[in-house]
Amino acid sequence: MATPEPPTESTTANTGVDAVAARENELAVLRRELNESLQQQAATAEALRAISRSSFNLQKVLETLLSAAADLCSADNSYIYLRHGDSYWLAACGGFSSDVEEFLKQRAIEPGRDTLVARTALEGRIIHIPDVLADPEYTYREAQSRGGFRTVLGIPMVRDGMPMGVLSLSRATVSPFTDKQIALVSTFADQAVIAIHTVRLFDEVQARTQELEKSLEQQTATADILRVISQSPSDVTPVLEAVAEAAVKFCGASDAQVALRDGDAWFVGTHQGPVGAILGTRRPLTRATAPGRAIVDATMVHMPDLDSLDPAEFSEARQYGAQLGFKAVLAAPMLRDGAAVGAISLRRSTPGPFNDRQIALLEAFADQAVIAVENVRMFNETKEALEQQTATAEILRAISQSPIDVQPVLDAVVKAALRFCGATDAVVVLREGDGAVFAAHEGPLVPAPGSSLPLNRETAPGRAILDGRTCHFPDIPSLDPVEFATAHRLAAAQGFRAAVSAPLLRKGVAIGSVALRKAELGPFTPRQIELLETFAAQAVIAIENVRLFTELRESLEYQTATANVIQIISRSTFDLEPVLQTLADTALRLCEAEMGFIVRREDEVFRVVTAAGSTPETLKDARDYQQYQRAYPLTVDRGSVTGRIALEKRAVQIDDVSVDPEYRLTQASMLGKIRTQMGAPLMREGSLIGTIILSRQKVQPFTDRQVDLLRTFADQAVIAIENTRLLTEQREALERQTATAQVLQVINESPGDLTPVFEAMLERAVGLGEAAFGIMNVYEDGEFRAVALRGVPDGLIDQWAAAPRPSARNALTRMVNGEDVVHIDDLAAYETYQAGDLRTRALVEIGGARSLLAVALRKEGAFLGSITVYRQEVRPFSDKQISLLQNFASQGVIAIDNARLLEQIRQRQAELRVTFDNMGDGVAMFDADLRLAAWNRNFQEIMGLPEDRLAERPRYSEYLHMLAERGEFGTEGIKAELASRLENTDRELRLERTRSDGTVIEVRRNAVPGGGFVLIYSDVTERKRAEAEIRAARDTAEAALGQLKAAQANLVQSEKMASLGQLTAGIAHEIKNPLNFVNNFAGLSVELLAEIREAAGPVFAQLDQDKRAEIDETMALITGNLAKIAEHGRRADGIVKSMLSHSRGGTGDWQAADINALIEEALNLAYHGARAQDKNFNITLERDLGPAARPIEVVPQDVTRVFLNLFGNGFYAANKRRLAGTEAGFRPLLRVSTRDLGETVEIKVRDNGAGIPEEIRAKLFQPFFTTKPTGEGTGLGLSISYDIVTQQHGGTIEVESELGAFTEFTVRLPRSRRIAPAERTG
Amino acid sequence: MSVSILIVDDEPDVADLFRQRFRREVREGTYVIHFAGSGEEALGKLADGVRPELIVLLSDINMPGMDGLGLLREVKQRHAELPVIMVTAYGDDERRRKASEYGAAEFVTKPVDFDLLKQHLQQLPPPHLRAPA
Repeated sequence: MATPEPPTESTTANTGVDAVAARENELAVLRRELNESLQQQAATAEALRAISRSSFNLQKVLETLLSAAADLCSADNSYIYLRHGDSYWLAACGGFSSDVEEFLKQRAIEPGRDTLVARTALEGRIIHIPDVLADPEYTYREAQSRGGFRTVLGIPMVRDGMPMGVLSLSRATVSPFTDKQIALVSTFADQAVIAIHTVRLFDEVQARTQELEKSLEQQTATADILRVISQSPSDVTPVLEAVAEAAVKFCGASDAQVALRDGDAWFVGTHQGPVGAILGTRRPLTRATAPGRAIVDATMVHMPDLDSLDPAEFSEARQYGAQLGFKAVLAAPMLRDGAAVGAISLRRSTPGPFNDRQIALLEAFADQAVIAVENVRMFNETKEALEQQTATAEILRAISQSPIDVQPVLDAVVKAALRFCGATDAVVVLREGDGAVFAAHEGPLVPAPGSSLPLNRETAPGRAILDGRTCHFPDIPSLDPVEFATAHRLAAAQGFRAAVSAPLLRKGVAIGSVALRKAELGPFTPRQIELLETFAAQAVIAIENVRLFTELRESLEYQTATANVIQIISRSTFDLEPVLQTLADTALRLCEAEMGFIVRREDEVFRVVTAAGSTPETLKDARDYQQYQRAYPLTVDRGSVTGRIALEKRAVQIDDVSVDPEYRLTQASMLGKIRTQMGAPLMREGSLIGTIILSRQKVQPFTDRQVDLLRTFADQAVIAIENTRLLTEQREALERQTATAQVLQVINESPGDLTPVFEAMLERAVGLGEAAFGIMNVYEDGEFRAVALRGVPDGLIDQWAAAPRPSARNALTRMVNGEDVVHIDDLAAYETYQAGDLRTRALVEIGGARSLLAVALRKEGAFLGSITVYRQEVRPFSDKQISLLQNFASQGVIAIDNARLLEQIRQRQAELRVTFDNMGDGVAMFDADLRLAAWNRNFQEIMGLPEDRLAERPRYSEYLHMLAERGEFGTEGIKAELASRLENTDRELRLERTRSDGTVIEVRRNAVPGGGFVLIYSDVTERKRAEAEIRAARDTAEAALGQLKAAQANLVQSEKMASLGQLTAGIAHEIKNPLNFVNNFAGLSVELLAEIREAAGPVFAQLDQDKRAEIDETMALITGNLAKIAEHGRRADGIVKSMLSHSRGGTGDWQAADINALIEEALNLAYHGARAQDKNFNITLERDLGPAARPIEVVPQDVTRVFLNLFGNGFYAANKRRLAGTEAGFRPLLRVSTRDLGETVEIKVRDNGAGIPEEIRAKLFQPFFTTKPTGEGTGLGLSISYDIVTQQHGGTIEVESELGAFTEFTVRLPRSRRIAPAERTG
Repeated sequence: MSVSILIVDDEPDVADLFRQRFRREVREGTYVIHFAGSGEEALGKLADGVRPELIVLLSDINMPGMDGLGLLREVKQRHAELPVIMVTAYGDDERRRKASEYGAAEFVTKPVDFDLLKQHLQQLPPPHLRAPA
């Protein structure tokens, strides 16, 4: 190293005192310069060598440069500060002790004036401070005292105008640097800049290369991971392992692990590296560990030193770190859709931060891990979906292949469930009644198909059914042993420890459940459960399908069966047996029974009438049962199904007769091997006529549907029984009617003779009664007389003749004593036989009679006789036979009666003949051929016809001619008379004729049924006269009555206001005439008085003043009186005139008018009129004139009159109430409203007067009726108004009133004139 | 020269009324007033002849027995030239029409406007100038 030259001040050229010396000097300088130059070149070369040598070591280069610079410039110390941002830091130095170096190293220098470096950096030029102690601005005393420098030189290091640092030299003494030295140092500074730049470039290349290498590695790693991902699409583990491996390799960690999230927990999925790990264990997800926090916060978590973490917040992390041996951890979340599915973490056994690149890399790995996890998930989902579809397809195939059988489907369901749901085995449980049965099973556990499961909440399938929800028992042994006793028992017996069951829900009701069982503990995954539920739904569909199909098929079968039965019913009209047999056969087939029975009621017991079996064997069993029952008929009690049906009148089922405590037919049911029995009632019109019973030889209750089905068979059985009954009844009725008809015919044919009747009757009685013989007796005068015998054995009657009278208990005697029917089942056992009655003994012993039936012939309680039939065997007669015999008895009574009547008729006929002849009228009968058939004596006498002419039995026409010849009909129009008589002789005729002798006869002709007629002649002369008188009297009375009625009608008419006209006019005229006189004479008298005054004027003048005054006064009084007479006369005349105008009716013209305008006008008139009469009068007027403005056809002056009247009345009434003064603040009010009613217009006039009492209201429209004081009203206003409205205008006027409230008149006028009745009638 | 007026009315006071109303004319001899209480009586008077010469017959319509219109027909059959004035309280169209149809000269309603009546009478032709029927 070069020895530093003593520092020199800047040298100047010598003035050459000594040229040689100068030359020498110059030479010496040159030499030195050369030397220096050489040294400098050597130093530079050394520096360059150093640079080239230590291409990777900048420090070395800088130190070499500093050392050369210090040597060449004789500096004590040298140093380089390099800029980092705004600060300058010591990068290299020479000549300092290590503690000074250390001191300097730790202090950054900012550009300023206080130190050399600061000032050089600030000014960007060479700074030369000859003595730092003498520099007032230099303040870096501490460095100066430590470094001991005085003269300092700072050279700025600049590249491309940018300051890079400062190269400085210092001397411990005050000895300034020469210019040459300064220039030299500057070249060193430049070299340092080059060196630094070179090194930086080199470093950059190196770094870039490294980065590329790392990137390559990373990409290789990524590619590796992706390859792994692609190679293991269904398994995430290899991928995670590859990720962990790559993370360790590329992130400068000693260890990596991948954590996965599982709900609220996380677990370590993969681990790579030497640090310990806890694989698989689930840990709660908290923020106390790096992976947990990364997952929860979904952010990167960096813990460079676990020991520096807060022990409370990160207890877990610290614990694991201590336990597993790591100090630093970096965790990156595995984010999918913003949420963390896990975290990948790097761990180191030594503390220290991970750099940015590592962090970025880990993030990339995390992303890859997510992709891998996602891939696997999607793959699995796709695979699962495929599997599920496959399973579904299998089940659907099973469904479609077995539409009528649910079992294959259930088998497919359990197979699929087992295959896809990861269980040990699978079962389907179906609800059956109150329990459940295992319907399908798949798997190695103890199989249990067909066996039952108690339906309670103690098992998963039970719960699923009862709750209608999926039930999951992941750990059966841990379940409560009491609450889940069944589950414990089954689990123990069949060997499973976990179960899940999904209900089979149909319309919200569980019909069963499908269950998965596992031999090992542990939950089923949500996915498995979901799949199970899908299978359950499919099972329900299948069951439903099968049910529908079955129903359809059953319905079809049922319809076919019904059709068959009906066909049989219609075919075998009389024979019930095959019908019932078919019914029983069909019922047992359709209801899946083994035996069927139809039971008929016989009074109080029931007997099996039909037995059916599904097979020859069961048929035999059924017949055995029937046979046994024959001996022991069923009774109404709870001991049998039929008995119970009889009690309950509804279908009854006994699930197992062998255990039913009340069932009694143990013997019979053993014969029939009956276990389950069910029956339905046969009901006719509310009463039980039998039952239909189905039986099974095993315990298998009938379903509701089968019960329903049986009911319909019961109905059909009833119909069949009923049909047969009706047909039989009809047939029997026909037989009886035929017999009856025959007997009646006989009765008819022999009216007087009873013997053939009795014989015919007895013959039918014996025949229809299926008897051997019969006897008919008549009872007269206490004796029996045999009137007919049929098949009576020889000798019997003879024996009877010898026998004494029948004993008291003999059938005949019993009937005499009141019994109508005597029926003896066996005469040989009958008491009279036993008692040795001879007649009975004869019957039995001679006649061979055993069963006897006797009926009484009775009329109105009287015993007339009897019919008795006998059978020669013991066989009681049926009810029908009894009733038939009674029928004959009734006919016998009729026949006897008829015979009696006939006799009576014969007698009456004889009597009639006498009467006929003695009748007062003349009677002639003409037969159907219109010949005279019979006549009586009076006829001959009245008509005066000769006997011989009548005896010829003339025709009616001849008879009439005969009468005509005798002048009976007068002379005129005899031909026409005869012709008319001869027509229609079947018609009744009644006429009167006045004969030539003046007598009047009445002729009546009455037709006789079957042709012909009767002529009756009566002499009615007297009667006619009397009648004429009465008629005259009556006419008079009627006329009087008519007049009275007319008068009354007139009166009524007069009463009615509508017919006022005539009456009023009459009265008016009658009054008018005298009024004329009054007025006339009054006027005349005035004139006459004037004449007197004129004529007597001179005479009066002669009288004294008093007399004259008296006369004048008297005359004035007379004149005044006359004026008063005239005035009152005129008033009366006014009344009369108004009456007359009333009677004349309206005379005005019809016009189209505005009703509202008319009302306004009338209202004004009335108001001012009232005001004129009474200054104090006032009233509030309210108008509500509606849209009646369309013109209405009226006689305006008359209608106005009506309104004036109504308004005037209203004013009067309201004002009167005010004047009464009893109501303070009462304000009179009149309200007028109009309303358009289409065809009519309605006008209402309402006042708030005192109202009109009910009794007066009716008289309101009568003329002269007024409530006003005399002189104030004529009583004609409303009457006239009434006529105007109703008669003239064809409208209506009504009044409504409430006392103390209001009176309202309602007038309705038709819009157009043609509606008015006055116009139609007038 | 006086002329007669025959008044027919079932009300006797009508006679007084007319006499008083025509008292001046009667007093002056212009009219002689005759009175009949019924149609039959009036016909009797006509048959007997009325002196002085009858200038007009005034008749009520509503009368018992022969009514005014019946009288009018009779009179017109026998004395077609004699003017007849109907005086009635019933001024209705039907009666007016009939009166006119039967040949009444005038139709006067009650109460009678005597001034008007007198004018009518003055316009009647004197009897001797009447065209014979």
